[in-house]
Amino acid sequence: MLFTKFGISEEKINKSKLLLFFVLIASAIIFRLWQSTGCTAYLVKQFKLSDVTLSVESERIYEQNPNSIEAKIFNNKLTTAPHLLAEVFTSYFEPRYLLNLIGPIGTITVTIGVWTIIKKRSKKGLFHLAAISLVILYLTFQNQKENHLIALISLLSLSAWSKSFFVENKWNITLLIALFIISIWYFMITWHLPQICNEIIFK
Amino acid sequence: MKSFLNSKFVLVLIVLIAFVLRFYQLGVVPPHLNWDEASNGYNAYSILKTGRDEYGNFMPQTFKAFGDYNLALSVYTLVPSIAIFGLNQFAVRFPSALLGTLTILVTYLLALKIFQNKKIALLSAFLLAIDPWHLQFSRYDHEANFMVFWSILGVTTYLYGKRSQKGLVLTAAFFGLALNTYHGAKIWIPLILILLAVTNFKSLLKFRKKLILPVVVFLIFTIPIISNFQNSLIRGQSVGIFSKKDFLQTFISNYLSHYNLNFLFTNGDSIGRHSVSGMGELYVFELPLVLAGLVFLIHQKEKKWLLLLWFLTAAIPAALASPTPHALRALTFIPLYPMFASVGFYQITKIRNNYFKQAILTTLILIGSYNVATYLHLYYIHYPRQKALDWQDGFRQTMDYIKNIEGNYQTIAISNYYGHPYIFTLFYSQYPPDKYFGTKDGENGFDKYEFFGASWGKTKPGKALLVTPMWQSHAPKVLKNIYSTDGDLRYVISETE
Repeated sequence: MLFTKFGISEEKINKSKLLLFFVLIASAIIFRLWQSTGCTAYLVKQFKLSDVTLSVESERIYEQNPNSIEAKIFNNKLTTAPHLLAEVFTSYFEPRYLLNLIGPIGTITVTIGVWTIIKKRSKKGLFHLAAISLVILYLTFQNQKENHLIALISLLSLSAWSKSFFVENKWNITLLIALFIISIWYFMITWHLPQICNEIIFK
Repeated sequence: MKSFLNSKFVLVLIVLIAFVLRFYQLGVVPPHLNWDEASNGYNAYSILKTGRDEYGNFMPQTFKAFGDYNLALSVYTLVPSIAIFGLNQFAVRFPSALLGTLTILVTYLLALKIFQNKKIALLSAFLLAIDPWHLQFSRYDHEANFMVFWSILGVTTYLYGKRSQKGLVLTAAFFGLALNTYHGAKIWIPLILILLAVTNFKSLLKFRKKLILPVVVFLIFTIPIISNFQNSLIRGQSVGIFSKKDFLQTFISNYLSHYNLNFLFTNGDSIGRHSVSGMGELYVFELPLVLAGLVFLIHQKEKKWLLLLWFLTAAIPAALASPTPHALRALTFIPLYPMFASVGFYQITKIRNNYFKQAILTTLILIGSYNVATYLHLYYIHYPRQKALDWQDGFRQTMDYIKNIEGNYQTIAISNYYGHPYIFTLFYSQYPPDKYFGTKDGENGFDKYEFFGASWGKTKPGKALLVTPMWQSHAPKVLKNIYSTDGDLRYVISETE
């Protein structure tokens, strides 16, 4: 209202809000990425077939008769493999990990993004979610430094669905600015990236 | 009428299933009492025999135990059970299993009131009856399980009786009882009361002066808490995060950890007693149902705000302490996941495409049956061996042996390496409480029993029996090796002249 009084059109205001939305999220994440350059060893989240064998064998020792049919029904590679795979897969969606990776601003914008997709039952949105699930599934088999980076970009892309919520009114854009400030503070106090990094040099 | 009878029959069947799952081998699995169970059990026994706790306090409002100052109801609830069944593992766990079974019935009534749908209510009750999270804690004596029962009963009574003063008085009494069960209730009960007030603000306003009586009733129940407030802070100080420098960061991190899918569906709690290894707190087949249920509840025009806000606040009490995620302190979630899953399941049954619906339901039932069978197998076969040490297993077997020969010895010296041996000795020897008051020397010993740390030195003449872990030095004449359920050598019993 105030701006339209000064002759600035509604459209321009919305465009600038949208720009602010992307700038705030991008700057918070760039700050986090800069922090992560100090990381010399990343925490590994990887599904390995050897872990399946190990898990089955370590559980079998608690059987009354490790070679019985009962033991084989409840301790086998066929059911242990999807269990361990799900464990690694879901760890990418762990709230604490998300908070550490993309901060409060990313976590909340992604949550609102997913909420928007579900609420609107958007086909594009559901396709987006499915595509990200595939990317994360791919990552569960990889052991590379870039895993966290790919996860960050993929998951953060969901926040785009929250843009309409944040540019809707001045209170929501204020909330976004507050989230940005909180995120920077949060990144400062968790500079050692506890859920991401094994060894870090403070810059 | 016919459908009512049918649902009644199904409910009885569900409660029966819950009963069997909670009572089958209750005294044997978990394999041993942990020291808190032994302490609650012996204090209840002492109250029964003398009206006093182990420290000689007459009908106390809080039980000092190991300095935790447990709330009164956690111990008094055990008294009738011990009076009937005697002082043994089954008797100590009986109230927990009984209230656990009754929780199924109360959850049915709660779900029926909230959803106004018998199928959802029955399914909620069934899913809770087989719920690994609830089963785990219904099968051992812990006051948090009592709190869950009384608080769910409080919410249910409120929803049914909120239009009458009588209903509100009963609600206040149930919440008051919940408050006197467990330390965590001091955070959870005010929270759930605020939730009820917020979600029923208009109906509460109508009462005005009539609210005074329920408030007074609730305040009466707070007297033991207020009069022992200083003591009740002790437990909070030892596990709480209030004194941490990074309180806010820790709180947020702790809070979020309870919504971690790995905690819920694949790994469970890291504390051995809290879940079986290789499973989450819930079954994997419930994951899509819970998600579908949540999505439906969010979408619904008439939002079930009580459930949604309950879901968001249930992690708060657990988040204020460490470690997290903590399945025990997060028992506040207990009725929610079965209800969400039931709503999800009900929505699936409404899918129009019959083939698609049948395919989904068949898959879910197959995976679900395998999940339940796996849990029961892990619980009854793996868990007693895998987690024997978490249950301080070995002491009962030691006492079973000592009981027969103790008359031959002037001193029985027991190593305190595994913690609080005095309480296990009292419990498993069923030592008369009135005799204990006169001979005890703190945790150092009583009567002919002596408890020692790194090494034991003879103080009295005559023969002595020495109970030590295998690695600790013992007398040359070994009488018996005590093995725990996992097959490990736990104690060596030796004799010295």
